[in-house]
Amino acid sequence: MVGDAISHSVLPGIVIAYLVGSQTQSSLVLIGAAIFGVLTTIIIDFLYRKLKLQEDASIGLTFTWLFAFGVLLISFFAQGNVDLDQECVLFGELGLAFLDKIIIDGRLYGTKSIATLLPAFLLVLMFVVRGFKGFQLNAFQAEFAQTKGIKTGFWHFALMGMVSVVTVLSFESVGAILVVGFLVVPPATAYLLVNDLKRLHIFSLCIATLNILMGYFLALKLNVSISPTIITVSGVVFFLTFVFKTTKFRLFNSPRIPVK
Amino acid sequence: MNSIEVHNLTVAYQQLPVLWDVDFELPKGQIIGIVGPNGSGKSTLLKAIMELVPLSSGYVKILDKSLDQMRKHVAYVPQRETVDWNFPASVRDVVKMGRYQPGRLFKRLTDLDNQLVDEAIEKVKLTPFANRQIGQLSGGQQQRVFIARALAQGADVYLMDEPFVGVDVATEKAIMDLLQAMRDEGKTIVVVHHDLQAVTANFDYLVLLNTRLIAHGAIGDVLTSENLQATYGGQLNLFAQLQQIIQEKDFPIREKGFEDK
Ligand SMILES: Nc1ncnc2c1ncn2[C@@H]1O[C@H](COP(=O)(O)OP(=O)(O)OP(=O)(O)O)[C@@H](O)[C@H]1O
Ligand SMILES: [Mg+2]
Repeated sequence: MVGDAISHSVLPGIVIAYLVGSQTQSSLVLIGAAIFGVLTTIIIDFLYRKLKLQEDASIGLTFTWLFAFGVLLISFFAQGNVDLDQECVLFGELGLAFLDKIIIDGRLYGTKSIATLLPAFLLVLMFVVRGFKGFQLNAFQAEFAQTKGIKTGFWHFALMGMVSVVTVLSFESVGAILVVGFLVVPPATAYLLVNDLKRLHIFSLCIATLNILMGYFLALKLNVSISPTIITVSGVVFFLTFVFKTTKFRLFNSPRIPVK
Repeated sequence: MNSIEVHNLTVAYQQLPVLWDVDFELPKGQIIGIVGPNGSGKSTLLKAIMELVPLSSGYVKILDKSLDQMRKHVAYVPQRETVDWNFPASVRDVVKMGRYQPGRLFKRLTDLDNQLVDEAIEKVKLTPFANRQIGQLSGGQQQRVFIARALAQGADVYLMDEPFVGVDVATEKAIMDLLQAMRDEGKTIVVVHHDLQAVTANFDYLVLLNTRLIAHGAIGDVLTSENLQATYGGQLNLFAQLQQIIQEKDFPIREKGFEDK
């Protein structure tokens, strides 16, 4: 899971940014994390394609190594007297995201999460819509793209770069489970329902939104923490969709057993 | 002018040569078969021509120019096993990819592009299936999707890796007719194919390959028992069948000793 890997392997980037910037400047930390996020995908890709390692082995090797390196950097430079740990930089909590208010002249302009994630969302959305053909072709058959002289490396790293940046930004705001869960579960649910790439994107977004709304209000009602509830709801939705699909499938495709 | 020239081509996977000093020139406007046993490097040869695998030595020319200059004029149909059939794409989506060009990926396809796509789908008789997801097609239909994509590219040279695998007799005939119509328009079609009988009946030109180039030339000139033995080696059973085919087809057998037997 590349998203999971990135969440760990960005640690050295955060530490280095911290050391360079001498304080937890969040913009610098984000840049450092994003650089290491992209680096992670490059190393994984190298191990997988050039050294022919299995994909899960490539991912496991890369992120454990980078994470360990980050921990070493902390213990070497910070010598235990600095309040820098991955938790405080990375693992946000959705329930607390509203605390980071942006108030200018006594007016509320939203939260820091909105200020970072909304532009990121719009940029990614624009890029995916405009570059749809490139991403589609590269995901389906990079080899064919190559025969047409299309720069497959550009599309691969554009995608991985966006995953890294969005992962890092979202980790800070909503925390680990939600990011990793939402990288996978809504598209997987949508994949059960449609077999058209454009619709897959639209359905994923709709399903994700529904999951969030249902999970959020359920959590409020039950007075439990929000993120795990949303993920639980997402899982249930996936399961129900799966059941719905297989039974429907059976209804329409069941061979007529001749009555004797 | 030659359609494809390959000179001193050597390709190795992890130090192990799969193609060794292969050197040939192919004519234009013909259907050209590439024949050899499993693992003889046929797919690798097509990939090397498309620069999908690194060349250890040698070079390739297409219509007298480098591949980079001629990319728009070559279409490549990969072996069917290499395709992800679960990918959320319809027949039309895949054929459209034939019209994607570097530098035009951020733009919409034009009306002309869409027209060429529809024509290509029509030619392989998949119009009723145009909106179906590619995994929900029969083997023969799947094969035709990728032929349609190559057609949509509007190329002059077509490289097809085993387009007849998993295809029934009727579809094979339909594809063969299509290829012959393309040839009659002056296109060059290079096809990897296992069925020597079909090759001798329908193709114009033959490349026999087994890591090294065994022979290449017009079908009648190349199909000698000597060449086939060199290509298929110890597979005597197969070899006997091939002799049968040659006799049935009444091809001029150029090797002398053969007639005496
Ligand atoms: N990516 C790869 N890495 C290592 N070896 C490979 C790779 N691809 C092919 N080979 C080896 O190269 C040789 C030639 O393979 P190739 O696919 O070109 O054969 P082929 O003639 O197309 O065979 P087939 O008739 O089975 O399709 C085989 O021995 C194969 O094992
Ligand atoms: Mg092959």
